[in-house]
Amino acid sequence: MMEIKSEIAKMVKDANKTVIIENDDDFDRTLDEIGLDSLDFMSILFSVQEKYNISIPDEDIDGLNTLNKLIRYIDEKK
Amino acid sequence: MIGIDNIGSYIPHNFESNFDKKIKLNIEDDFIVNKIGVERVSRKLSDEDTSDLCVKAFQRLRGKTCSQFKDVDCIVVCTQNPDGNGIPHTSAVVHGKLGFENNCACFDISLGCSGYVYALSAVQSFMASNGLRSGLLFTADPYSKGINPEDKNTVLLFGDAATVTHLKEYEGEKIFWRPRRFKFSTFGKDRDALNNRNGFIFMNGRAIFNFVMKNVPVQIKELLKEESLSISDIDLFLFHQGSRYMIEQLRRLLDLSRKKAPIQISQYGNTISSSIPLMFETYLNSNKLKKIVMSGFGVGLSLATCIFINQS
Repeated sequence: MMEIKSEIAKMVKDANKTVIIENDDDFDRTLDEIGLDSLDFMSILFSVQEKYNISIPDEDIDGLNTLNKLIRYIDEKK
Repeated sequence: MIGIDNIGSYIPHNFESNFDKKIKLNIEDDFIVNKIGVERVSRKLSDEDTSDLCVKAFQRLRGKTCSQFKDVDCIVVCTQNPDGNGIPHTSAVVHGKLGFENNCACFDISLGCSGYVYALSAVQSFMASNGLRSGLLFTADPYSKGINPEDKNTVLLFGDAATVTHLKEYEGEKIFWRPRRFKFSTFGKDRDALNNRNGFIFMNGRAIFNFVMKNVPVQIKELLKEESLSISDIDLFLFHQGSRYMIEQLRRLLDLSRKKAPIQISQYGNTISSSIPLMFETYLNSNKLKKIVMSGFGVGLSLATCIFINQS
C-alpha cells in the first residue's frame, strides 16, 4: 500500500501542480478540501487505470472522495 | 502536387460569457479560466445556418488574397450539423450562394473533431486523382443547434465558427504547406460517449478524456516513428482544442512546451472541426515552421493525425 500511496501522490502532482500533499492527514481529507476538482480527479483515475490495469466504473467514483479511499480501492482491485 | 495555399475563418460576433453562468452551474472562475479554458463561447446568429457561416469564412478568405477564385472545381464541407435536414448537401448550398461555375465537385464529410485532418486527406486525394486544381475545404459545425443550456458538460465548452482552406495544384508558384503522411483510427464501440440524444448533444467527459489520453499520444508516436521522425523534429503540434486541461495533459504526456503545443480556445470555445484550422491560420505564413503535426480527436470516437511540410 505504501507503494500505491507514493504513486498516487505523484499522480496528484501530474494532475494539478498547485496541489500540495503535506502529510498523511491530507490523504483523508476530501478531494475538494485538498484542492482537486473533477477534471483533476478524472486525470488521476486515468493514470490509475493505466498504471494498475484496472477498470474504475463511473458508479464507483462517488465513493472515492478521499485519496485513502482510492488507495484502498486500488489495493482491493489489483 | 496539391497543397494548402491559404485559410480564412469566421467567428460570429455573438458571445455568451461563461462567467455569467457561474451561479447557475455552480462553478468557479478558476475552473473557467484554468481548466476548461473557455471564457466565452461564440454562437451563430439566429438567421445564420451552417452554409452562411461557410460563406462568411470564404468572404474573409477572399478579402485576404488577390485570388479571384474563378477556377474553383471542388467544394467540400465538413459538418455534422448541415443546413436544414442535410438535403441538399451543405456544400451544394454553399456553391449556389457563392455562385461558382457548374464544373465543380461538391460533397459533404460527416465528421466532428477529427474532421479537418480526415478531410485534408480526402480532399487532397480526390483532387489529385481527378486532376482538380482549386478546392475549398470548409469546416462549419455549429453545435449550438443542439446544446442543452442546462448541461454543464457542453454549454460551457462548444462554440460556433467556420473556416475555409484553399487547396491548390502546385504549378511552380509558392505553395506553403503539403501533406507528408496521415494516420486514422476509429473506436466505434465507444461511440455513445458523444452523441445526439433527443436533439441535444450529450458528452461523457470522462470517457472522452480517457480516449484522448490513451490514444492520441500513441498515434502521434507511431506516425512519427513510421516516418523516421522524432518529436524534436516537429516544430509545432496543433491539437484539436477540446479544452485547456486536455491540451495541458497532452503536453505533459508528450513532453511538449507551451510554444510547441499552443492553446487557442478562450475567446470562442471548442469549435469542433474548425479548431485546428483556426489555429493553423495564425501560423500559416511563418517561415520558421518546417514540419507540423495536426491531430484531431472526438466524436465517433474518431482520431486522425497528420504531418505537413512547409514547401516554401
